[in-house]
Parts: sequence; structure tokens; C-alpha cells
Amino acid sequence: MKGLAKTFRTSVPREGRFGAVRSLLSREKRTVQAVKRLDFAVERGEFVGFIGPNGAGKSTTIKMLCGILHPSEGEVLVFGRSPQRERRPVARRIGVVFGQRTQLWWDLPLKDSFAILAAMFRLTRSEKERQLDRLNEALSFRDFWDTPVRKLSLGQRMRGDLAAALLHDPELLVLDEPTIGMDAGAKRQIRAHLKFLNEHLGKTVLLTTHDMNDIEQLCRRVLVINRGELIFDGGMAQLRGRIGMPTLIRVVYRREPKLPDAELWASQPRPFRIAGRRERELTVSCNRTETRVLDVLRALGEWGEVDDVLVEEPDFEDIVHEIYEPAK
Amino acid sequence: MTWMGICWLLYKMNVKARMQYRLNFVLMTMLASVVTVAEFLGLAVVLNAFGSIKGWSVWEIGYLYGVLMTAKYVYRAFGSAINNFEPYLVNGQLDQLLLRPMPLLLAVITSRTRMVGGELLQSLTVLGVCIARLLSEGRVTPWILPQTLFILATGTVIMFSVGLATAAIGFWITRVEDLSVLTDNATTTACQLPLSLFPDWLRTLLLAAIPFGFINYVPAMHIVKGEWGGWTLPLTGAVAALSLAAALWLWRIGVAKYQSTGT
Repeated sequence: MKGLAKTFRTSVPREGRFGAVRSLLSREKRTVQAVKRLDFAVERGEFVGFIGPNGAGKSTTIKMLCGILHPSEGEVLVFGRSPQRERRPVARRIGVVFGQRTQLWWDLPLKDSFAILAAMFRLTRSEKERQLDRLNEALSFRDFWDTPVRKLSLGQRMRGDLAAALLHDPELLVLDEPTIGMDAGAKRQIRAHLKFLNEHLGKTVLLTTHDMNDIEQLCRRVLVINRGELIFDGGMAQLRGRIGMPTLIRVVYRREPKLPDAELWASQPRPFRIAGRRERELTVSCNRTETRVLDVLRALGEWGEVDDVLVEEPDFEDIVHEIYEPAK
Repeated sequence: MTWMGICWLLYKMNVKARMQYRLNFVLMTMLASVVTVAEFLGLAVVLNAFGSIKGWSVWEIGYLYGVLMTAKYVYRAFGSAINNFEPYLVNGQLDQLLLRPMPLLLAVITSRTRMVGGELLQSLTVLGVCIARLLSEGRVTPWILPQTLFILATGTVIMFSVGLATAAIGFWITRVEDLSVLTDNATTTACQLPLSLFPDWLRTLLLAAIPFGFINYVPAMHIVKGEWGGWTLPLTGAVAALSLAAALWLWRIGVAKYQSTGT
């Protein structure tokens, strides 16, 4: 992608009678720059995680990559071709899954969706059978493929969607939040499938997700996007190094704790900071690359008798957001 | 498999999916047929009371009605996705279609099927009865048959073009349902009657802007009334071709403006 940008110009919708006609005539426009100057390249065989907070421009980028949206500026090339000017040849070589929508035929058995897609991608009968056998090994969908898609569980449907996206044997797989809404078991299963597809079938995968575990277990490379700009491109370890391992510790004391006064606090710097306090409850944040949780707890124990402790890792998205957009 | 083969497969699958809700399908078909019959009966009763309107007999108006409705339901049969395009824009349904290695318009058209057998049969019956009556009164020659077939084809193309243009405008304004009431439903209702009944501005609108007048009234002035010359038929064909070209052009520009939806 070279200097890729997308600006949405929408008219402010009008309510009421003939709203559509009035919006058309209205000059009031709202401009939203969803993606500003993105530059990156993905090599064959890579497994790339594409993350960022909601509204960062992930989906917009992916949709430009697939030929759904047309960039306002810059250019995307997939295998050297523009997905906008040569949408159909590119469509033959990429497989796309949107986790929040299915591309399967809702009221028909999974099998029928495969039949339609095989015809659309002009697979011969033997090509289709061979590919289905191969995919069934990775995604085992044959025991539920006679059931209408609307009756499948979320995990089953995602396996079906993956198989559908892979039926024409694309080299690049683009996944937009493939594990959204799934329970831990289904997520684990889908991850195992994706790993297999990348490592054994050599598929290049570009994945967006809000689930840090997806990224940690699957991606060798991470792209972080915020407000339409690429703010990080590198390995997982590098990203960890950059943001550390922020941890929140919530402590409930038996009685209201005695906190040192400001002067003492300043003279004795500690590797954590107080993030919140409510009666007997105290929340502190620390970075586990700088200190150990146990040491923090020991320090907190000096202020009163501890009744209960809760340690949590804050949402990864929040951290990314906070780091790159320092407190406003 | 050729594109025709794939379209046929998609059509069969759409029907199969529809049949998952059989009761709903039966009810809708029955309801639709009652509505069409009631609509024309209402018109016929009024016409019968007056005998004729400004020189148009019941049978001649029935001919206009039959041509218009037949074209409408042929269009609805294959273009129902175009006619109900708003959800594709609002729910981002178009995303999926853009991922298919098919020409987009073909993918849109084959994504939805409406079964219009009942409505089509009624429209053709009205048309057939009126043509038979006009023939038996000796007011038209058997030439009316091939000519009618021709204007059914051009009429369908005009309906489709206006629908497509309306859908394409949706790429800019997203909500097109109101607009489609204006460009499709209102104009269809107006063209059930001879355009000569209407004030100038409306007639101009229906001939120049939204050329529904060319579906039935203009060619009927030659085929049924014999008042206008043979040039009306080539003109009708030209209007249909031009509308289609303009609509396709608008569609092509619109697709690049597609905004999809957020997640």
C-alpha cells in the first residue's frame, strides 16, 4: 500500500418526510478521514496482525485491499494488481472473511454455499472435491454441512465461512475479526485452524482482531493503526517492549488504609502509581517489566491489612490508545 | 459453467431458500394476486361508468395497463434486488457481492429473486383480453402482436433503467426508498392512464425525465390509436437504449463512491 487514504464525505442525514431527497439537495457535508497515508507491504507466507481501537481505520483499509472501497488517494496492489481496476482477477486470488457477517447463504445448508461458490470460481468437479477434502481435514465441517447455515453455532459458522473463503484456494487470506463473539473453546479451535492454514498450506494471512490472544498466539508481525495512521510495525516482542506489561492491581483493605503524605511519597519513589481510591479500595498500576507484582503487594501491605487482591491486565486496545494518545 | 449457468444456479438456490418459509411464500403470493386483481377491477369500474375518457375506451386503457404491468412484473422478477437496493447500501450487503468474481451488476441481480408468477399471469390476462377485444372490434390488425412483444421488451428495459439509476443514486445518498417511491411507484400509477389526461408539466416529466411514458402511452398512440406514425416504435427503442446506457454509466460512477458500513 502506498500513501493510501480514504476520506468519507457524507451528507448529514435529514429526518422526516422525503429525508433522502432533502439530504441529496443539502449542501451540509461532513468529512471523515478514515485512513490517512498508510504505507506497508506484506510478504508471501506472513501472518500479520492488524490492530487498533474501534474506528482506527482497520476495516476501511481491509475493504480497500479487497476492492470493496475505492481509495481517495494512493494505491493498493495485491499481487501487483489493483483490486479496484481489476476487482475480479484479484477476487480470485484472495479469500475474505468478515467475522460480523457471513458470506454463506443463510437459509441453505453449508453444502449448497460451497456448490454455488465452486461454480462461481469455475472449479471443476474434481478440483472442488479435492479442495473440500483438504479443507475438511483442517476445518472438519462435514458433520454439519447439511444443516442450514442459520442453525449453526457461531464456531461452526466461522469454520464454514473460512472453508468458503478458501474453496478457490486463494493465496492471501484476509480475516476481519474472525473470533468475534466466540467462547474460549471456539476461539482456540479457530486459532488452531488458522495456524494450520498458515504453516502447512502456506497461506498468507492478514488478520484484524480485538483479542490480544489471537495476536500473541498467531502473528509474527503486528501492525498497529490509530486514527488512520500506522503507528507501529514490528514483531510482538518489540511491541511488548514498547508498551511494557501494564498491570492493574486492586486491593481491598480491612480498614481504611493509611497512605503516606505527599512529601514522603515524593521522597520515596515507588515503581507504581495510584490509579484510583475509594474508601477501603485502592487501585494501583504498575509495569511488570519494571517491577514484580509481589513487590508491589509488599509495599501496599505496609499501609494496612489487606483483605482481598485482584490483578488484571487492562484491555490491550486501551493501552495502545493511551500510549499513542497521551492523556488529553 | 457459463455466466448464464451460474445465474440459473443462483436463481434455483434463491427459490430453494425462499421455500424454507413456504407458508410465508403462499400467503404473499395470494395477497399479491388479490391486490393486482382488485386494482384493475377498481379502474375498470370507474371506466365503465364513464364509457370512455377523452376518447380512450376501457379496452384501450386496459391495453395500456396490461403493457405497463407486464413490463413491471418482468422487471420485478429479475430486478427485485435493484428495486429494493437500500438494504444493500445500509447493511453493507454489497460488500459480499463485491468479493465475488462476477460482474457486480450480475451479482446484485442474482442475489435476490422475487416470484411473480401470479402477478404476471394476471397482467398478461388483462393484456390478452384487451388485445382480443380490440382485434374483434377490427380497430387493430394482427400486427399488434409482434409490436406488443417489442414494447414489452423496451418497457422492461426502461423500468429496469430507471430502477438502476435510482439505485445508483443511492451510492451518494444511501437512503433511496423515498426516491424509489417517486421514480417507480408514483410514475407507474400515473402511466396506468393515458398521458393526455395530465397537465403539461407531468407529461413532460414522464416523457423527458423519467421516460415511463415510452413504456405504453407513446407506442400505443401508434399501435392502438394509429394517431402517430411508425416512427414511434424506433423512437421507443432508442429511448430504452439511451436510458439503459445512462443508468449503467451512473451505476459505474456510483460503485466507486460506495461507502460500505462501519462495523
